[in-house]
Amino acid sequence: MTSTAAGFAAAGRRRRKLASYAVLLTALVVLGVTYAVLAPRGHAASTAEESFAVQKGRELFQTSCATCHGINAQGTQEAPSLIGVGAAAVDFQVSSGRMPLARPGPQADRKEAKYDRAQIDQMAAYVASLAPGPQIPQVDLADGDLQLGGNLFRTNCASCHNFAGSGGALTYGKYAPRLTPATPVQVAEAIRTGPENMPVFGPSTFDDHQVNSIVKYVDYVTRSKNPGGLALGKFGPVPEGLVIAVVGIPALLAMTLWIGARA
Amino acid sequence: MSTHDSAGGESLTGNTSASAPGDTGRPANPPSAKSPTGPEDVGPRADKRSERLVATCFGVSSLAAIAFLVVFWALPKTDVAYTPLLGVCLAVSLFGVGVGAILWAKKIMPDEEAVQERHPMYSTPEDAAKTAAVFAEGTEKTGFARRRLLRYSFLGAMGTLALPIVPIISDLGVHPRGNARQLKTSPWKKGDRLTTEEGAPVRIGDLEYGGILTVFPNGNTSPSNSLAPTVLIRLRAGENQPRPGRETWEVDGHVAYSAICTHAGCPAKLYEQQTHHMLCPCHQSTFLVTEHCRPIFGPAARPLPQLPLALDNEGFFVAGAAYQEPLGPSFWERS
Repeated sequence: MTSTAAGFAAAGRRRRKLASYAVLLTALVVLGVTYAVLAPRGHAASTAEESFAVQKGRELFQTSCATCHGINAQGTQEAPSLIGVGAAAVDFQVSSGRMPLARPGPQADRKEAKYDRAQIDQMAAYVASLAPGPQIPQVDLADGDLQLGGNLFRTNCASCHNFAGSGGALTYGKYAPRLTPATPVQVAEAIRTGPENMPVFGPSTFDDHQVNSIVKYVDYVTRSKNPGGLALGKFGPVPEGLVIAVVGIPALLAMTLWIGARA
Repeated sequence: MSTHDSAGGESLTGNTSASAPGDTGRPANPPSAKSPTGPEDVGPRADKRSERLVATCFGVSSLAAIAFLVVFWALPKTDVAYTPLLGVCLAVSLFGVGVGAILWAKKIMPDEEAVQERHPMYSTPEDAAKTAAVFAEGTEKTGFARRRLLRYSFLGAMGTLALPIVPIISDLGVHPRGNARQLKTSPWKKGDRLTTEEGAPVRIGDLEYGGILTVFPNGNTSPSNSLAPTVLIRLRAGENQPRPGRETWEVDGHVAYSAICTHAGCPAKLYEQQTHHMLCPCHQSTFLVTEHCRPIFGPAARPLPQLPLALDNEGFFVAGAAYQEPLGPSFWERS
């Protein structure tokens, strides 16, 4: 009697053990199937795509950039290392035509971009694959606050780039460029990466909303019309005074002399 | 005989223009030089023509003034042509009135040269004598020449009256010795948080390498605190070469310097993160940030003052001490 009871109890324990195995197995199968269905396929595809871009980017890099930046982008005496500069720096430099450099000098000048969008993206993917760095920023002008952007621009940018983004001279032949030809994305990239001698303003210095605001202000101030007539480069009182002294006052003098001679 | 003599005398002087006494010396306009049109501008028809010309000028002026109003109301103020058009309309309007007035005077009014004789500038001998007599009488009556005590005390009083000007002049600026405390006191106190213009305190890690921020003491950006702006810069490890005795003034590569140029007080904030030049836009004074902001070019003679940095227990940047030297442009008693 007791033995049969014990037998039943042992069988129940075994059954419960089997059931827990079955549950565990089912859970594992479900998890595995879900993972197999959802995760790896997309991942595999994007990795392949990415590695293709990285590969094409490396080829482009080795034909056009490696002479100065080194075969592994480690930098040489002529040019800085590109490890860790991120996609944003590559996109800024190449899309604004500053790189490849036309000739060595105090500063790279903006010119026509030498590569198309796909090639720039490939180079950016290659450099970004070397080490983590700033991504190409997503600029949303609608998110920007024009007034905040103006305040931030005048405090942090206008000392070099002028209050209207007209640029200005720096030391030893370097200069802060005019912002009129820069696209909103390029302005944001310059803020984030600090090209050449420009200081860097990272995400903890300016958040994305603040960068959007600055970009919105730059877009506004460089594309606004000139209700006063000639803008004279928007450099403020210096060219304006020069025009008054060289054109305006002599014109008045000539008129006065003419009236005096005719009287 | 006498006729011959006078003729010879005239030819000897060589004076061919035969100026009459009282002539202004200016050659009279020959009548034919008055206008290139010559006799055409006399007569009733020419007069009518001139009248129409002047009236046309005034009419153009009126039209331009009306055009000004039209532009003012009809054109949107944001239009590129708005301000230039207003200017052109106003200029044409004023110019029309001016040209009309000149033409009126030249074409319609009779052209006659009028000479106004100046009256003699000197006083009559009687007046001169009378004035001299008044002076002599005054000298005599006051005894200015005789009474030495009065004369010297009067001159002395006039001299000492000039003395109060001296302290007034010295009060025009800050007195170099007595009242110079305001030049030498720092707007930063020990423990002041470094805040952005919006008042947000700056934490360690907020700046990237090569980053710069303009900071103020505890959010005080008031204009009366105009010497307070300071720049916080993050250098890469090992780049900073501090002045001896200031090795502890940096925090993890972060350094802080006054943004006010030591030459003329402009904000010198044009920072180049690769060359570490800090440029003042007013007179091109250049400071080297990695070498305690010593001047390397331009008229500034002193380094930018350095603010000792520290961290509070929440990780925010604070002033480790006040500025140790006077901020802003140089002055003669600055040490």
